[in-house]
Order: sequence, then C-alpha cells, then structure tokens
Amino acid sequence: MAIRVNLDKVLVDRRISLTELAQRVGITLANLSILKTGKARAVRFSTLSALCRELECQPADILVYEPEAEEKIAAE
Amino acid sequence: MDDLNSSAIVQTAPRIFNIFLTCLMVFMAIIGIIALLLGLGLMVSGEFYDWVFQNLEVDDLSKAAGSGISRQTLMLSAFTSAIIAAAFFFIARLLKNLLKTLLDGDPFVPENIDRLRKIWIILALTEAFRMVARPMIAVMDPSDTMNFDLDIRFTSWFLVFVIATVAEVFRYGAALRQEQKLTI
Repeated sequence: MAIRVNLDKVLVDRRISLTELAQRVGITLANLSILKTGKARAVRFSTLSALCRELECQPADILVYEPEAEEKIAAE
Repeated sequence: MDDLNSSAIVQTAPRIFNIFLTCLMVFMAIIGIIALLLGLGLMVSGEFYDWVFQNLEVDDLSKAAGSGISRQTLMLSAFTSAIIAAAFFFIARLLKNLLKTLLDGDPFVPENIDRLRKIWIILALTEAFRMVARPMIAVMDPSDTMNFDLDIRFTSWFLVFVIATVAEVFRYGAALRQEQKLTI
C-alpha cells in the first residue's frame, strides 16, 4: 500500500511501548499491532485523533505517503 | 423491549432450524441407506425382488408390482433415490455448519461463502441428475411401464437461482466484514 505507518518510529522517539499506548488510546493491542505492521485497511479519525493526542504529534508523523513503483511510472 | 424480543427471535430461530436440520439429516441418512440396500439387494438377487413385493406393504410398490415394473427399473430407481438422499444429507450438513457460525455470533466468515456456493451447486446438480435419470430409467425399462418425459421443475431451478444470488450477496457482506475487521 502507498500509505506507510510510521508508528514504531514515533513510539521509539516518545519512549512509549505498544502495550502502554494501547491502554492509553483505548484500543486492543491486537488492533494496534495490525496498524503498526501496516496490515490495516483503514484508520478511523477517532483512532487517529486519540493516537495524536497521546503521542503529541500530527497525523503526518504517523502516516507517510510513499508512491509505489507502478504509481511512480504512471506519474512519469 | 422490542429489541429484546427481536434478539430473542434471532437466537431462537437458528436453534429451531438447527434441530430441524438434525432431524432432516437423520431422515435422509435412513432413506439413503434403505434405498442403497434395496438397490444392492435387487442387483444381487432376483429372489429379493419377489420378497420385496411379497413382504412390504407399500402402496406405491404394490401398484408398481401390479403394473409389472421390472427389477432393473426398480434397482435404478433405488440407486437414484440413494444419490438424491445423499445430496440432501450433504446440503443439510452444510446448512448446519452455516447455522453454527450464526449461533457463534459471526456468520460473515469466508468459509460460509464456500458453503453457500456448494449448496446451490449441489442443488443444481441434484435437480439436473433427477431430470436426466428419470427419462434414462424409462428408456432402459424393458416393461415400458414408465413414461418418457423430461420433468423440469421450475420451483427447484428458481430456488437454485435464489440461493446463488444470496451466495453472491453474502460474498460482498463477508468482504465488508473483513474490511471492518481491518479498520482500526
């Protein structure tokens, strides 16, 4: 997918574990792992908002757009 | 209160269907085994053919005996019935598994898409088999007691079409469920 989740980097920067973040945000560790590993298909605004609130960051710090090879070729 | 009543119905109806399907499976198993044994008996022994008409007081069989239905025809009819009973047994088993997922709380699992697809395919094959087997038995019948006619049951084919449509709708529902699971 062209959207990459940068959650692990933000977690290292903030020195927060995944378990702690799950507790603070109020979602299950399993769901947070799905998000972290990039397996999620969509993110709710409420989840994104809670993540930004707890991590004191912007959505762009968590989500990064990286065009895939096919998209790059199409753009050129 | 209405919500409570409707949720009770949602839980009760599948349980009733489950009991009904268990009874249907037992019934179809008995019918299938009897038909298979009857067919095998007729295939192996000519005396069994006489014994069937002498000892079993079944109206249809007696009428058939009176009209002079042959041993071969009766044997083929028995095997056809056994195959159809086996097909319905298998469909009932698939429906039971489908209902189990509903009782467990999540029927929109990928396995149920395959189950629904199998159900309509088996139904269609069974109906096609019945349509073909009946005239074939009539052709092979040396006593000419059976009529050669292609019996197309529109109700059965309509049911196949309905289940096939429901299966496709279900496939979309399962895809949405998967999408929802992966939405964080």
